[in-house]
Amino acid sequence: MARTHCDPHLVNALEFDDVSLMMPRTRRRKGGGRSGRLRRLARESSRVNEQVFAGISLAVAPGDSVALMAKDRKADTVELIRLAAGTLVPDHGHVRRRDVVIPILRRAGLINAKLTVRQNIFVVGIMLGMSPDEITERMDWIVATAGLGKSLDGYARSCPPELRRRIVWTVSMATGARAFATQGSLIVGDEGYREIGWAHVEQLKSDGVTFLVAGQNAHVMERFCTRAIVVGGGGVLLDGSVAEALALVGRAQVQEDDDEAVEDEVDILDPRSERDDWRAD
Amino acid sequence: MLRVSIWRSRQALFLLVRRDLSQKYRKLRLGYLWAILEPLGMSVTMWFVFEILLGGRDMGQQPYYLFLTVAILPWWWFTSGISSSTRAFVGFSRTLPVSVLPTQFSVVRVLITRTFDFLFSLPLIVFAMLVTWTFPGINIGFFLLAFLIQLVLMYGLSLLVASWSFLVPDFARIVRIILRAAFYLSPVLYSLALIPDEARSAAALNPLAGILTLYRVGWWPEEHVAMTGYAISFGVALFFLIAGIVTFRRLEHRILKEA
Repeated sequence: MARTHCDPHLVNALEFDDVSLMMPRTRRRKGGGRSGRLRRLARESSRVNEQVFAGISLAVAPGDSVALMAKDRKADTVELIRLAAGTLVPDHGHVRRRDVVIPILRRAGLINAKLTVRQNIFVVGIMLGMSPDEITERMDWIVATAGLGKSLDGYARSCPPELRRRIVWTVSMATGARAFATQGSLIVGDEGYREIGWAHVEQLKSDGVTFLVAGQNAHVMERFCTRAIVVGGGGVLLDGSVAEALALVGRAQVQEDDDEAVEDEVDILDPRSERDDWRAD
Repeated sequence: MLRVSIWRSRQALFLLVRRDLSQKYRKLRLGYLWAILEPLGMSVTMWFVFEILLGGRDMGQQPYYLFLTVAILPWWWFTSGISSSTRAFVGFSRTLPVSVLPTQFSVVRVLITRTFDFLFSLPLIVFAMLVTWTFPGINIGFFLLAFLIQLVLMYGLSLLVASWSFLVPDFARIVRIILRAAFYLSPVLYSLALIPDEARSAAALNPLAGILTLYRVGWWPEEHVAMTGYAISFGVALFFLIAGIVTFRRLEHRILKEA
């Protein structure tokens, strides 16, 4: 079964059924020199498998706007979002979705500086499951909503990070998906653009679109989300209101994600190497 | 409703394949001609070494240049496709966490790009036919069958190789060695008929043996081997297809974790 498989007959928008997940992590160790040599001698690996989730079950109804918060590590919400979107597959259990869940994880980083803005719109749209025809059809809306104007045929390298975030956000919204899972990308841009964003996501919410929201500040969570889930220690610590979740996690802990470096470019168009190895023969 | 599958993403797939091809040839002054010139150089060199320098040893059917060209193009397609697939997930690993496209999308993309490279190089066979004034008979239909079997084989192998190469980088090196050995173990330079009888059943396990012979029978019907030979080749190709799909499915969650 494809990882993004959807079941249109599912009652809920999203279901996690006894989901367990281990993730490989690189452990940073203190101390070098002698202790480092001893660890190498003992063939002790710095890569360890950590239990992120152990048998979690939860359901998200269509039209729900759920705030995701982590008690300990921000990475846990990223993994929950990836599981929801199907860009991670659980080791145990099932994640079922009624519609395709669009992940919005990297914002400015999805834009390739070597391409024009128009080409970038196609690249991001393709990655989010749109066909070139659909992208062409919605190009005018994307250009108008993101406020691209003259920069459409200019190279993305001249676009400020702010504009890059807007491009990714607008293309994501243009997919017409019925569910979104965002990490710090529900509302992007400067003050003026945030108002456009608010109007759009609130319209989608009233139309019954489902949202999983992580990496936003407490104000955004309170304004937009009707429910909150706190994860930590491998399980769901709380499934309740946003106010309860903020009280548990600590208001100051819930912050808007910093964007990735602008150079963090995606390489769907530029495979790392295109050498012909037939010459070896 | 937004739905995602390789078939539904075909427009995007062909857009990216077209871009890969134009990127590959854009900076070259002779552009797409290189799709022909490179295998031409290879086949002429091989012909010169084995037919002229080594005194025209009886390695296959005559005209040897055509005999070589008909097999060298599919071989090139095979080796370049499998080599490229070792980097299929490595090259696109950054997109995996953010893309809803099927994970095997990049493998299919690499395979289709290489298939177009192969199709672009086919005029070389026409050139060889005109140079040697040798034309195919009714058996040329087997050429298409060989193409389809090779496609099946390459898809399975590409999935297998791409998955393992992403998780164990050393695997790509092993693949390179295996491909080098496969060049000499497959009947590219020689006819399958030259393999001693006692070794022929072992040689049949190499799926390329049956496939390359099928490519050739259009010109040399006497190259035909027993149906069991083809059946074994097809069976092995099918085995690799299933092995590739099963391996990919078993490793997909690990690939996504490491991305």
